[in-house]
Amino acid sequence: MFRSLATLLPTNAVFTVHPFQLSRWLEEAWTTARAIPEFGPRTAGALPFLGSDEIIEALDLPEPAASTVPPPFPSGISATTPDKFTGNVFVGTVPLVWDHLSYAYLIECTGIIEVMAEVVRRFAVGESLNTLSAQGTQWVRATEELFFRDPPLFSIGGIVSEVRPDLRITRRNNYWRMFALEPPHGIPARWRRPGHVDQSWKSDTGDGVNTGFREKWTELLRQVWLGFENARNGIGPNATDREYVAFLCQSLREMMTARRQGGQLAREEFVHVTTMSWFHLTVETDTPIVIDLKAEATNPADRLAKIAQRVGVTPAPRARELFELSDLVSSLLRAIEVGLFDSGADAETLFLPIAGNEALVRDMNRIIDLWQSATGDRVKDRPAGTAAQPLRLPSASAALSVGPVTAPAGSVSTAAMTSMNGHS
Amino acid sequence: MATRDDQLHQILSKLTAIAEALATGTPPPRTPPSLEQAQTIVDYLVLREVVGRRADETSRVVSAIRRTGGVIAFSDTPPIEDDTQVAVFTERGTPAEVRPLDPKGTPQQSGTGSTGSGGSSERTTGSGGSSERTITLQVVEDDQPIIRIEIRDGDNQAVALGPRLAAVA
Repeated sequence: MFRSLATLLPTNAVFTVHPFQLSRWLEEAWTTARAIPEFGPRTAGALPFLGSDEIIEALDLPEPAASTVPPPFPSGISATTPDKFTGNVFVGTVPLVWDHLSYAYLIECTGIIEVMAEVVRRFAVGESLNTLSAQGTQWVRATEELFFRDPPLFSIGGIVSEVRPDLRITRRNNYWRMFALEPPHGIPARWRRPGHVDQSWKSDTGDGVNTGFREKWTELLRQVWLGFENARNGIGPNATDREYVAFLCQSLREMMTARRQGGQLAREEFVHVTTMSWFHLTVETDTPIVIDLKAEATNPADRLAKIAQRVGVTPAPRARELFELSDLVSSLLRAIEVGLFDSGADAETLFLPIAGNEALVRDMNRIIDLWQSATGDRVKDRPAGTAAQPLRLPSASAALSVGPVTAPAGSVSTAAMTSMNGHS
Repeated sequence: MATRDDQLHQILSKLTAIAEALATGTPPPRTPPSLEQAQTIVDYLVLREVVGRRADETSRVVSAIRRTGGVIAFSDTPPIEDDTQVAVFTERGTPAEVRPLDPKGTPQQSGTGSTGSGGSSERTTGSGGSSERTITLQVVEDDQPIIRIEIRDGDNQAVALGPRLAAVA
């Protein structure tokens, strides 16, 4: 969301907005999702966006009773002069909604939050890093206040309390429930709270873990690649099965919306993706803090690697792929979640050359390339001796099955991605 | 059922396309989408935009203001064109009504309005001026929330979406 806000303000101005205003703006950003149109109107029985039509209103601030009553605690952000306070709600021209939880997961996998936590800590306790510019100081102050302390009372970001005191644990719990995946690095020893129990985020999740997500997702990518290979095949045997692709999308949709019933995880998702978008925005260009840390580079992963080196943390070797994947996967999973590809004809738009779907096909192709590179999953080749499709279709019931409270063999977290992130 | 001549004609046109592609080095043309596929593609492009990704060429998200008297106003910029049709949904499934744009310069009454930006309802003055185009709803009442606005081109294919609009008093 902060990346969306940044596009509405002058370059780098978002880092100079007071953290109080940014905190209030998050409340307004939550409310803007009310204006998101209904997607996939033909999908019978699909849950509404975010799992409930009422979740936004259920958790937002009350509206003024009359036009003469001011809104409660507006952000007052000015699009032209961000160091001023307008006294009004900041309203964009079009509705915006936050990214899918997968965005937060993939950005967290780069290790960026632990790198930046160390940056903020070093600036707070000593002089082991460069002297900061005024804008760099603003970034450090805003970052510490927005993401490394308890959120303000009664705010939409207030998902820290006695019942879930550690945001790192909360994020892992949410990733685990939605994808049965965890970041490749553990929680650094410095940030473990007294009484920390490893893997505690898997406790008490009940039936609500999507243990089959990885298997179905990878199979979907394989089938779409098969579709690419045969897109222009008009004469030979064609193993592409659009109905199977649609069934995989439907299966993923059922799995994810099972976790969203009644608007569950909407608020947590909002908090996690806004957090990660701040850090992503920080390294997306040569921002003031990047310049202060002498980490200028041509892409986010290289900037992150340089900053990580400054604070003695080993960066994720595949961060480049993860940064790029985060946007692409977020849009696609949102689309799958609202049932856009639930029919065979609609699923064809993922891989066939159809007028108007150039961007969609390009996104799919890129996701396949990047996922294969980031995880080491061979998406483009089927294992030798196997057929184009597995014998059994993925079943929706698998989405609700409860596995043992351990990482599934071959998951992103336990297999490939562990080796690509140097965190201990 | 297709006749033998039809089949021969189809085969010939395919072969001609292949020959042209080989001769010019260009790929064969992309298949035209069905109405449903066009809707899916637009939904995906809009989803990409509303989560913050930049539109490739033209934006697929249009802003809109709803006014009392069944009026919805759009900026008079692409993808809004003279032959635009607007499908208005009040529930999932089929649109409650599909309206052409009002003729340019149609005078509008002032009234309470609702924007699609997620902010509070605000009072607006409809001008019906040259910078905006409007539709006037015949079936959907002012007290019915609109969950989806589909901007369709002259071929009746979805090209963009408008915001969800609250009821107007």
